[in-house]
Amino acid sequence: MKMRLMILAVLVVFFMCGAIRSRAGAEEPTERIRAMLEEIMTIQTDPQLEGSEHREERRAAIKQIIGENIDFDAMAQIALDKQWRNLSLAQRNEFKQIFRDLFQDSYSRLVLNFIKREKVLYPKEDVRRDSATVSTVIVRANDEITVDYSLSKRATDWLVDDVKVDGVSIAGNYRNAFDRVIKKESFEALLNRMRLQQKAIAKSP
Amino acid sequence: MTRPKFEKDGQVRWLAIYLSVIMVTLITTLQGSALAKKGAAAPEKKVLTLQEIQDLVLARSPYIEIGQSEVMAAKSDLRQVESAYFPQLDATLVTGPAADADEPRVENGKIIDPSPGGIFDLGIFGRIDITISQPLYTFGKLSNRREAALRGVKAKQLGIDQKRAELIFRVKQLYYAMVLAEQGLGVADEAEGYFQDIRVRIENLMELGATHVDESDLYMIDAYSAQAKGFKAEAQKGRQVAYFALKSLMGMAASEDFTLAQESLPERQLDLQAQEEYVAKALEQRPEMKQLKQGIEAQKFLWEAAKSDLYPSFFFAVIASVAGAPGRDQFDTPYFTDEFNHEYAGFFAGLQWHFDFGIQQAKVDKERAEYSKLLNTKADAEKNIPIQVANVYQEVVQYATSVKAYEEAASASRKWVVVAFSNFDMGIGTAQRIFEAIEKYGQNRGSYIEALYNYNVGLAQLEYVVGTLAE
Repeated sequence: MKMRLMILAVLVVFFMCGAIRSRAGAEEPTERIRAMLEEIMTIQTDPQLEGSEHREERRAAIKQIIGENIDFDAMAQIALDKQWRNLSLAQRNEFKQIFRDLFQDSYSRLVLNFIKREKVLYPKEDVRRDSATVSTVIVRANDEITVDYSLSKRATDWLVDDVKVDGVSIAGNYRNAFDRVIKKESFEALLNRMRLQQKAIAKSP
Repeated sequence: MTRPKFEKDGQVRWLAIYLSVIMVTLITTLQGSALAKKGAAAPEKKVLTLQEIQDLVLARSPYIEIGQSEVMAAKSDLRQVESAYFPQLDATLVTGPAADADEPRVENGKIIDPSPGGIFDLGIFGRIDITISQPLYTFGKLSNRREAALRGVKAKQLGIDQKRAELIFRVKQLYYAMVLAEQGLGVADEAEGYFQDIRVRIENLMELGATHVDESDLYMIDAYSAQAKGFKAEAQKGRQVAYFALKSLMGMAASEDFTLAQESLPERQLDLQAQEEYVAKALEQRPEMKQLKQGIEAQKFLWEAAKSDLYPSFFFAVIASVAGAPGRDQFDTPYFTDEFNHEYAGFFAGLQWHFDFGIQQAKVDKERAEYSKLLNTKADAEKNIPIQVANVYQEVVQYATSVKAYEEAASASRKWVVVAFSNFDMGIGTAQRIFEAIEKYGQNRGSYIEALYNYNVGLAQLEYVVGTLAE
C-alpha cells in the first residue's frame, strides 16, 4: 500500500513538473523572438553604429543574430518541398549550405531596412506541441507591419523556420519560386543561379 | 659671494611672477572661451504638440489683437450711446476788458449816466455760463442706437472667433504638412538605402559574369535614385516652408528652434454624420453667420434710429450764468441784464427739432438700403454655405476611402518588395522587379500618407466650415 502511494506521489509530482515545464515552455517562443528583436533594435539604435557609413557593421551584427535564431536547414527543406526527396545527400547538403548563406544575408538586409527604431507589439502566440507561431506588429509612423514567426522546437531550443511579412510566407514564396525554376529548367540550373549569388555576396560580406 | 644668490632669488621671484601672469592670462582666456562657447551654444530645441503650437499662435497673434481692438472700439461706441441717457453739462468761461460803468441816476426827471467815458476807463470782467440738459423723450434716437451698438459689440466678438478658427485651421494645415514632409524625407532616405544596397549586389553579380543583370540595371538605379533625390528635395522644401510659417505664426525669434512632438499623422477615422446635419450646423453655428445675424439686427436698429431723427427730441435743462466786472456798478432790474455783471439761474423743458428738405429722409433711405444689402448677403450665404459644406464633406468622404485604398495598396506593394528582394537574393529574381516594386511601394506609401494628410486637413476644414473648429 505504502509502495503504491509512493508511486502515485511520484507520478503526481512527475506530471505536475511536466505541466509546469510545458507552461514555461509555452512562454519561450515569444521570449525568444522578443530577445532577438530587442538585440536587433539595440544594434539599430546604437549611437556608435548610426549612419550609412556604419551600415555594413550593423548588417554583420544583425546577420549573426539571425544565424543564431533561424533553422536554415529546416527552411531549406520546406522551400524545396517535394523536390527534396529527389535529391542526393550531397545535393541536399550543398543546397542547405548555399541556402543558409543566401537567406541569412537576404533576411539580414530585410531586417536592416525594415526594423529601425520601431515599437514592436506581440499580440498573439500560438503554441502547439513542437511548433509555435508568434505574431508581431512593427509599429512605425503611420504604418504597421505584421510579421509572424513560425518556430519549431529543436532539442531544447525554439528556432524560426518561416517568417510571414504582411501575410506573405518567405519559405512559401521560395517553395513556389524554386518549383517554377526546377520545372522550367532543372534543379542544377537553380543551384547554379544560387551558387553565382553566393559568390556575389561573398565579394561584399 | 651672496650676489649671485640674490640674483638667483630675484630670477626665481621674477620667474614666479611671470608664470603667475601667464597662468592668470591662461585661466582668464580659458574662462572667456568657455563663456563664449556657452554663449554661442545652440538654443534648446522645443518639442511642441499641435495643441501647444495652437495655443502659442492664438496667444501671440496680432490678427487676434486687431479683433480685440475692434471689440474695444465697439464697446466705446456702446458706452458713448449709453452715456447719452444721462445729463450733459456744458460750461463756458470767458474773460476780457469791459468799460467801467456807474449806476444811472435820475436828475430833474432825466436819466443821467455818470459813467466815465474816457478811453482809459476800462476794467476787466469774467463770466461763466452753465447749461445742464437731460433728454426726456427722443422717439427712439437713443434706444435704437444703443441696441445697434450692443449688436456691434457682439458682432466684433464673433469676429474674433472667426479669426481664431482661421488661425487654428492654418496651424493644422501647416502642422500636418510638416509631419507629411518629414515622413516624405524618411521614405526618400529608405528608398536611397534600398538603391545603394541593390547597386552593390548588381555590381558584384556583373563582375561574376551573371547574365540576369546588366548595365541597364545600374542605369535604372541611377534613374530611380535621382527621382528619390528630387522627391527628397521637394519634401525638404515643404518641411522648411511649413517650419518657418509655423515659427512666424508663433512669433518665435530667429534664434529659437522647435520640432514636432508627433511623427505620424492622426489615423482616426471619424464616423461622419449625415451631410444635412453639417449644413444645418453651419447655418446655425458658423461665426460669419452669427456675425451676419448680429449685423442685420444692428442695421435694422440704425435704420429705426435714422427714422427717429425725423422727429423732435424733448429735453429738460437747467441754465445758470454768473458774470462780474469790478469797475461796473450792479444794476438790478429784471428788464435789463448787464452781460458783464449779473447772476441768474433757471430751468426749463424744451424741444429740439431739425428739419430739412430731404437730407434726413435720404439718410433713412440709405440705412434701409444697407439693411436690405445685409439681408441679401445672408440669403446669398444661405445658398453658398450648403454648397461649400457639401464640397468639403464629400472631399472628406473621398479621402477616407482613399486612405483605406492606399493603405491596402502600400501593404500589397510592400509584400511585392519583400518577395522581389527575396527572389533576387536567391538568384531567381530580376533587378527590374525590385525597381518596379520599390517604385510602386514608394508611390502607394506616398499616396497613403498624402491621403491621410488630406483627410486630416479635410476634417479640420469641415469643422471650420461648420463653425466648430474654435470650440
